[in-house]
Amino acid sequence: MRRQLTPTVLTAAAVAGVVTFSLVASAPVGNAAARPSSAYAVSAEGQVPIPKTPLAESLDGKRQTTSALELPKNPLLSVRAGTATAGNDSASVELFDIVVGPDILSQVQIPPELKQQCASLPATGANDLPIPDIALPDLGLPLPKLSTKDLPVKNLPDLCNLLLNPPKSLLAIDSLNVYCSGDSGGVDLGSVTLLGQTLKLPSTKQGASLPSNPLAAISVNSQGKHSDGSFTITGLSINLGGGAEVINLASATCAKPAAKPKPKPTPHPDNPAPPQLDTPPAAPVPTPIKTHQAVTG
Amino acid sequence: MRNERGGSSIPALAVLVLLGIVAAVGIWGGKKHETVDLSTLTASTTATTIATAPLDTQPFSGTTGLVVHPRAEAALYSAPDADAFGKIGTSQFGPTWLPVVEQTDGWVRVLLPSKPNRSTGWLQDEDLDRASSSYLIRVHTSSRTIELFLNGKSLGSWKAGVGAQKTPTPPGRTFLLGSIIDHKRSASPIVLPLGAHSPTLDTFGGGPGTVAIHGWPNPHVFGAAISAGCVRVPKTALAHLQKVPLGTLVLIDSK
Repeated sequence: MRRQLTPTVLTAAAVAGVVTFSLVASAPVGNAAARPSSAYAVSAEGQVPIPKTPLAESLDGKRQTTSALELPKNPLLSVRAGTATAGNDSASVELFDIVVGPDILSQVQIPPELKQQCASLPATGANDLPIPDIALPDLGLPLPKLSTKDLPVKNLPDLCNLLLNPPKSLLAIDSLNVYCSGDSGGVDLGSVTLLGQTLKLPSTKQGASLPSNPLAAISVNSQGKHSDGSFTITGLSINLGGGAEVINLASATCAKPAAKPKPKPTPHPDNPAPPQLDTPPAAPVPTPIKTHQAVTG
Repeated sequence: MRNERGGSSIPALAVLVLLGIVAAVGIWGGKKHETVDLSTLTASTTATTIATAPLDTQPFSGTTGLVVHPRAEAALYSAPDADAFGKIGTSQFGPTWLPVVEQTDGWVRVLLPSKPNRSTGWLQDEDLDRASSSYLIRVHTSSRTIELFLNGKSLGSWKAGVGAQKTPTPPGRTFLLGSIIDHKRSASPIVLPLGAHSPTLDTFGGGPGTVAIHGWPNPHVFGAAISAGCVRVPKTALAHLQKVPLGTLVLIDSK
């Protein structure tokens, strides 16, 4: 009896050990976020849906970068170039030449009565003429029915000028950079042009918005902390037609990796270390020289 | 006997003549470069342009880490055994250390500090101090970061201010040319000039448009494309970079 008891106890102990180890090993790591660090350049919801493109995700904290910015063919949005990077509790996005509604206004047929008014503007006092309320044709964009009164112009000559010399886009942004590190981040916004007019940017601080207009509600630097400890910052959110289409541009989420990647014993092949055999002595640490040299600043 | 002696002396004479020719060729061949008149050649410095310098054929590759220091002013050649096109002095800002990008028997090809960017030259592998830098600096102009590696292992990655769109930091491989303290720059006196120049500014601030790594008092510039070509780095990065040997490779890419 005693003989049989010892192996049984040992087996039980081993099984208990394995079970305990399995439970401990499968338990979630203390402060790791449920979502990984990630970054994307463009996403849109509404009439023209666009998935997060391109999306960089770092599950293990290792830096992941993508510049594969190929948007599905759409009449709404184009971006010339962009890079999304996600890493260990850090992420960033850079976008260049974002255009909403490219070449859309050149397709607008000007109503004949307006054309007539524009052709016969008086030499003086034209600036005081009211803007006629004429419905604009469908732009093919997710916008409500628009009239000439909704356009950001002050007077009739301005309106004529806008329609006769249509700008290249509804909205254009020359650069947008967003980054986060831990639970903070920032937005760097280049020039923004709405219907050919450069907008004055009040701020890129958290929760800022661009001057209101009937075409688009644009919010800058939206930030949010998630319950799992991760943090998201979105550079620009463009709301067209009162929610008919919402475009998010440059969004970065920072989170701690699920587990730290194991250090690699071999050096990275892209960063060649000098050969170990037959190497000359180590190069000396430089002694700074006090002098003046004009450099590019 | 005489015939025998005479017969045996002819091959001996032939051997002597042959040796003489070999020796003469060796002496003249060897003297070809020793007789280069250095006074007629332009010195490769950050302030000079040597348009005839051969350009780097692999501007984004790493190296073995070998760096060389000429013990005396030396001629630069366009290829092994080819013509001299310039010379390199023993000091620039402190001692001249240049990274070796290619080697053949008795020759090393180095990156140069003169314009145009990516200039290289061949040095005879004599009168050179050789050393090895285990460091590598990488500058990424799109992500606006600078990374420092020691033996292939990252010592740090920092956000850096890089050249603005119209005054970009030039891509390609270059090297740490010097380590200076410039008290005319009161806010950020530590400057690490590189072997590269602004591709768009011929001169800047009275200088030749030398690109450098240096600090900046306002941290908002780190992570921005904002400079006239220089790489602006935070204090902690600069403290690490100051310990990096001269001649160390700096790889600038648009990642």
